[in-house]
Amino acid sequence: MIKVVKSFFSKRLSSTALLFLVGLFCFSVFIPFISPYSQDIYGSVHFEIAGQPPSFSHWFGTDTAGRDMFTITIRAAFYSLKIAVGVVFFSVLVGVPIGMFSGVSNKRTDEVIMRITDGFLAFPPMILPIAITAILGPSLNNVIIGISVSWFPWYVRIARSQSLVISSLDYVSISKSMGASKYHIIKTHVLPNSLTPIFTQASIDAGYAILTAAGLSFIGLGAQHPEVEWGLLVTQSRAQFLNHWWVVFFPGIFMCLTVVCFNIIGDEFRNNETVEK
Amino acid sequence: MGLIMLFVTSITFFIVRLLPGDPVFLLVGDHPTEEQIEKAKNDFGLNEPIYKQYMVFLQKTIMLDLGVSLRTKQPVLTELSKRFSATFELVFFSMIIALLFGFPMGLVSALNQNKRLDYFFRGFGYLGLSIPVFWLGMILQIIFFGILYWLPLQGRYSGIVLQDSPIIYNSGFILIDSFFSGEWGSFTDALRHIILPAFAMAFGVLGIVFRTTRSATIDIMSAPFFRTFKFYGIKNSEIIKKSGYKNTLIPVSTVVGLSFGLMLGGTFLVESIFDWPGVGQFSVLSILTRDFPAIVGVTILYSFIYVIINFFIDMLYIIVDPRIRD
Amino acid sequence: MERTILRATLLFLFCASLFQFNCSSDDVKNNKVFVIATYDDVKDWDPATAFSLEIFPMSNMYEPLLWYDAGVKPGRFVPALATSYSKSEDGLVWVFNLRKNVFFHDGSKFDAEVVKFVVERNKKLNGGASYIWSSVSKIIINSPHQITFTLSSPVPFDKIVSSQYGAWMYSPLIDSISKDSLNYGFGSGTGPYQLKKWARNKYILLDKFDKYWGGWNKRDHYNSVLIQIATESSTRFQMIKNGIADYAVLIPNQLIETLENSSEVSVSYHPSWVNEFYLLNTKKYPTNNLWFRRAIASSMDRSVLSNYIYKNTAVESKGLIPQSIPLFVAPDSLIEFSLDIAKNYLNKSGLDLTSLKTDLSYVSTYEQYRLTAFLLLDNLKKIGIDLDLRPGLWSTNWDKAKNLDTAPNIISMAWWPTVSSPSDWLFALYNSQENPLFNLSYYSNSVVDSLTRKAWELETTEPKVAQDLYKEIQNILIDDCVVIPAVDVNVSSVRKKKISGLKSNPAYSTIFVYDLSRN
Repeated sequence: MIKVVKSFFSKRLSSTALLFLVGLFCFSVFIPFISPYSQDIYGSVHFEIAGQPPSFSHWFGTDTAGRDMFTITIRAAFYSLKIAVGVVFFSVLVGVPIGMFSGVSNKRTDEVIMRITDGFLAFPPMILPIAITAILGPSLNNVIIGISVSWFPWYVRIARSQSLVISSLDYVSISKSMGASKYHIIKTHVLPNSLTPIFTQASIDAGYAILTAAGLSFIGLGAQHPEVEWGLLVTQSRAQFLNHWWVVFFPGIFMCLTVVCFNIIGDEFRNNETVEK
Repeated sequence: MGLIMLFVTSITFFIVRLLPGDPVFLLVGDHPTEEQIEKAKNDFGLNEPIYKQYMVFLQKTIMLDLGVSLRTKQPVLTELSKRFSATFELVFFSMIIALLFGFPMGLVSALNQNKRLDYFFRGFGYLGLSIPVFWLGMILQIIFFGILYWLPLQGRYSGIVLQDSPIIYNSGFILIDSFFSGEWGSFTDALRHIILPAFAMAFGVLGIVFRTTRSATIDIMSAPFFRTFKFYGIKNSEIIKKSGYKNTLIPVSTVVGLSFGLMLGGTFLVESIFDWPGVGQFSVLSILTRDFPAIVGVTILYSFIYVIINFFIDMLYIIVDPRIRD
Repeated sequence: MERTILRATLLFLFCASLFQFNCSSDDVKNNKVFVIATYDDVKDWDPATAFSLEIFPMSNMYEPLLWYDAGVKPGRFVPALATSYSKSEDGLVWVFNLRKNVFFHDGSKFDAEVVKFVVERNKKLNGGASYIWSSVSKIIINSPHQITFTLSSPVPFDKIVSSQYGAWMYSPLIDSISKDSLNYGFGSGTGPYQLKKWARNKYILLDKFDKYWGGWNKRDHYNSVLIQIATESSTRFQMIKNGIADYAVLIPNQLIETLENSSEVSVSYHPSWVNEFYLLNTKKYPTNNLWFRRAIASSMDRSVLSNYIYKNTAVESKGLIPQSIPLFVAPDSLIEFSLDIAKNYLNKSGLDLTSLKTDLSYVSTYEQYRLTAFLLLDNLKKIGIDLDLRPGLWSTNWDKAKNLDTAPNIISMAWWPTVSSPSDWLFALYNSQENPLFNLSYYSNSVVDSLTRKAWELETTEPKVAQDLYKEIQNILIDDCVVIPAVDVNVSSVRKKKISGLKSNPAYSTIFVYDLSRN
């Protein structure tokens, strides 16, 4: 694992991507203290300056409620990254233990768990997150729950296949035959060896979580004002977007760049994975 | 297989019952009276206990009776079959675009590995994977409708063509239909309408196709047979052109199959933006209005499609790679 | 090489042809077709129960006994299928003289028997707006062209027979048609246009009815009406901009703005009978506190609504009912916008603000509701109240609001009347209801209940007294701070410049194509 991290930083592309994400996150944390329009983050509206194109005083223009687009676009990074991390965290937290347990369990238990997982995966995309957020009510936290519920089965699968591969290795079988517990096998053999594939999946998923959450916002089920999230910012201007390109353009570009960065980082993990083998 | 579909539909049934909002509203209009609501509830069996409703639902679903959409008052099956052709046309067209661009780009990129063109294409591929599909749709609309005024903003055909060529109503596939009947007016009109939504959807899959083709080609280039050819002094591009590309077909056809699933998810958003009268738009509206017969219908349709796609992928493996047959 | 060039040229030509616009809209002009671009299809072809966008085709296919012209001041009744009418002193007996030589599209004749049939069928069906006939207790046919209604209470019956929904006269042959074929499109009225073709979710085509009693020789009439369904507003916008449509419904402000300098399209705004307001829940903490409600009401800045958010599409409300409705009278005063006063009220409420949760549910599909919610949130924040926004579709909001446990403190609402009377608002929104249907403020006041009843029954016999009562009721409601009035909605009329003969009539949300001329 340490080797992976080391090689990670030696690559220019992936370290730039990481730097961008960290930088954006820090900026989004500090923007309320820097921006002259910081009140806009908390829902302040100024209808008298609504719908202005980009200018020196408003770099990204203003939206239909007269808020400074630059300030809220940067601030939105905070919430969007929160979604990304939250979704991946919960999916891993739920999916990985189940998958590993399934992998080292007897055939019957394994079969039952896998059938249920298949059931979840057979749901049409978007339907489960949409339905769950609709039931729980639209909010940022519920979006995280909604997406996590439909994604954790993927981690069940990855963790299971890893633990199947690893527990069939000679030295693991030997320790099994010597009476090691399931918990011991997972802890000492399976878990350390499955980190890289899980991290690969997680960093790619983090990007897609942002996109899915934005999609939910588009349907009206995502974060709610005054919380700002990129998808919500793009969507809010829907009635206006033909006349106000800037309201659509800037949050989208940031969303795009962030997801690209997550993809680059995921690829870097994947490359190391193949090298390791 | 059947078990999975039963699982999916049952979960859907209960999830939908949990959704906030009263479906009765769809039946009685904006300003109903107390009695009208009660009557509608009784008519639709909404006053029965939930387990009874579930039993009735199961019986009917097994007989393929999906019921009537509460929102549109049409049989769900009719509604879905009518809209599916629109969605299919869009997805199919997007897939063609994605392959038309993604596959050659992947080959070229592999042949020029780590050169400028490769970097450029890879950047493009990343962008494809990362772009929010509804945002791309809106940007395309701003450029091609708002600024240039070249292409129509939304819809599947113009209102005016509707009058001139009645052919449109006979079959769901407007492009194919109008093409073969020589209705050029309708054909170009439909084509102009499909371009923007298809490109918006194709972009993501293009990235996937590109990456798969590229990595598959790079793998081939390190294969023994490739080295042998090289030894004889044949150029890389010649080998790929003559035989090498065939070996990329398996991974590419797999991702194409899987991407159909991805695209069906994308239709939810793209169809809403472009007012495309397909299943995706229908699903979103059905969920938001709690039109449960429609939601269940959509879920059954989609899970069925997944099953079919997976089946086809397996078949493709067998056809393309004879070794699997044994 | 040459082949490549040829291919490229062909490709280019092909692409170029794609970008050309079809300009075949001339055909439509020559065809004398009036094209309406609307956003949703007919849901119910039964004229008795239709209660929504059916108004577009049906108001051109059917006629009631009387029309109500609200475009002139004061409003007046215009003969339609009844040529004249009279009422008894106590307002309980109404006699209508019916028009002679009127035929339905299916050829059957219109007479008193038909009127009796229609009213009785509507009463029996009891769906949509058919409840408007509930006060009819007896119907007597005096002659083929005269009919007498006896009512159970002295309601303004001329308003009922001219109602926008549920008052259309239709052919008795409807009974011989199965419910199923009714779902495939049906129409047999006496109106100037008859249903020719319906392609579900695509279009409705109406053709002129040659035997229409009004005749076709007066002006340069339209021969057909084509109602096209385009769910997205921008499609409708494109249709009117390209000259494909003559009239477009529900075009958003932002798109209308770009049309204002157009030489082909004209945009005008007309008062409607729709108003928008925010109901305050009087049973739910913390809005069950009168001073707290007043604090919220003082935080609503109506001038921002009319100046920035709604602009031309609405005017500030002057009362709890729209200013254009007959018998409208303004209350003594509305609660004015002032954050200082709001703070004052908040102190009087004695509530502890730190642990307070107040929520507002609004209809998410309308930009104006959204921006108004933003405004209210900002203003309330300034006086120390945190507002949670709960956008949603109306069906969802409404369902939650009907149950006190899930009801929001504040809910956005729009109301339009079935019968053109201020009482329509008061009965539905502010009269006591055991299980609130639209009384989403959970308000209950027996004084308001009895005054509303009294005013409604006095409308025909003593309109002045009724008006005073309506004023009194509004004063009570404002004093109890049950509602925050917002705006009276204007409807935009987006149409081709060439059309003439268009009159504004807030009583009907439609367009009467028969009255229009092509030049």
